[in-house]
Amino acid sequence: MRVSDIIGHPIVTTAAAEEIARVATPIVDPAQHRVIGFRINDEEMVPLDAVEAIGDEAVMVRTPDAVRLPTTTLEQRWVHERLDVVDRLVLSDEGNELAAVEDIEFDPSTGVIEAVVLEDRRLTGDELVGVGAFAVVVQAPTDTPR
Amino acid sequence: MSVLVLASDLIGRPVVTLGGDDIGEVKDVVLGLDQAVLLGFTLRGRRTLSGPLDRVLPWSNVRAVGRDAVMIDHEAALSDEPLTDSGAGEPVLRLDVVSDAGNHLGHLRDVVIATGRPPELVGFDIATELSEGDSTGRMLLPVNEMVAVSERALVVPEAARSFAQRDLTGFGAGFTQYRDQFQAVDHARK
Repeated sequence: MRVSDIIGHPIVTTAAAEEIARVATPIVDPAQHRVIGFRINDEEMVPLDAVEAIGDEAVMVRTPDAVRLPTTTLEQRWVHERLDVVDRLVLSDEGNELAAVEDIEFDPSTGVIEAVVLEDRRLTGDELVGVGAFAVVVQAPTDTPR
Repeated sequence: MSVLVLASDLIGRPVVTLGGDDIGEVKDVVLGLDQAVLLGFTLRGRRTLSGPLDRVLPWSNVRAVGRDAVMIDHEAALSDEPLTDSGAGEPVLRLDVVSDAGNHLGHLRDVVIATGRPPELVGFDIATELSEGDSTGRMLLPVNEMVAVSERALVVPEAARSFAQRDLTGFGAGFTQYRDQFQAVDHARK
């Protein structure tokens, strides 16, 4: 599943079929190479483990309790600083700029990132090193001269 | 093949953690009378109106030098301790470079770095006295990672002089030759 297919989509409860929020950006844990949830505004998020299903039209959660404040330092940074991966500056761990991130492909049930899609190449999820205020850092591709 | 740059070319380049945060940019290069020669960099903030940072980046903590950023593992790579040479004491204003045959070559203006992960110090940019044979006042001399240090000067092998160049373009090929030859010499000595 592609992150771009979800951004802007409604988050809907299965209990009442009620729209409670919309997906703003994914929240990614680079160390685990996983999508761990979605930011919905500048204060709140929906963790992936509260998500029942992700369909073509909506992200389904059981109840409005799925929305919560960020708790970990990582979650807080992603929500409060509005971190993102798509369209960001990408640097290799050798300090060279690469093409921007076009999309992230991930497994909707586990959040495991299957691919980081740059404008000119695909990286595997474990090649993602970090996401910060300045750049997305990835392992230096071996297919280009240093 | 890595790209060669002068350390001063890195001034203004962002210093970025593997976590993707820019914690500053290179403000200045600190050279010293020390085996490592390049002690590190002072830093300044990256936001408008942000001034110099108190913390410095020791050269040994640089993970990689690339075209677009100086990479460090983590913010902890920065140090609160000022960058000083092992000789300690008075700061050296002028770093003289002499050969092990006793010839004074000039003073150190900058150093040449081979970019990459990890980066490597590969040469000296020496301001020479003008002479009949040399009107450029510049000598780029290949050196190995660790340089000999006397009480007053950096000491380079006399043999390195035959690989001296006047610009970075010529320096690259010369350096490879120099290193091959010197590794062979080092090996023969053992």
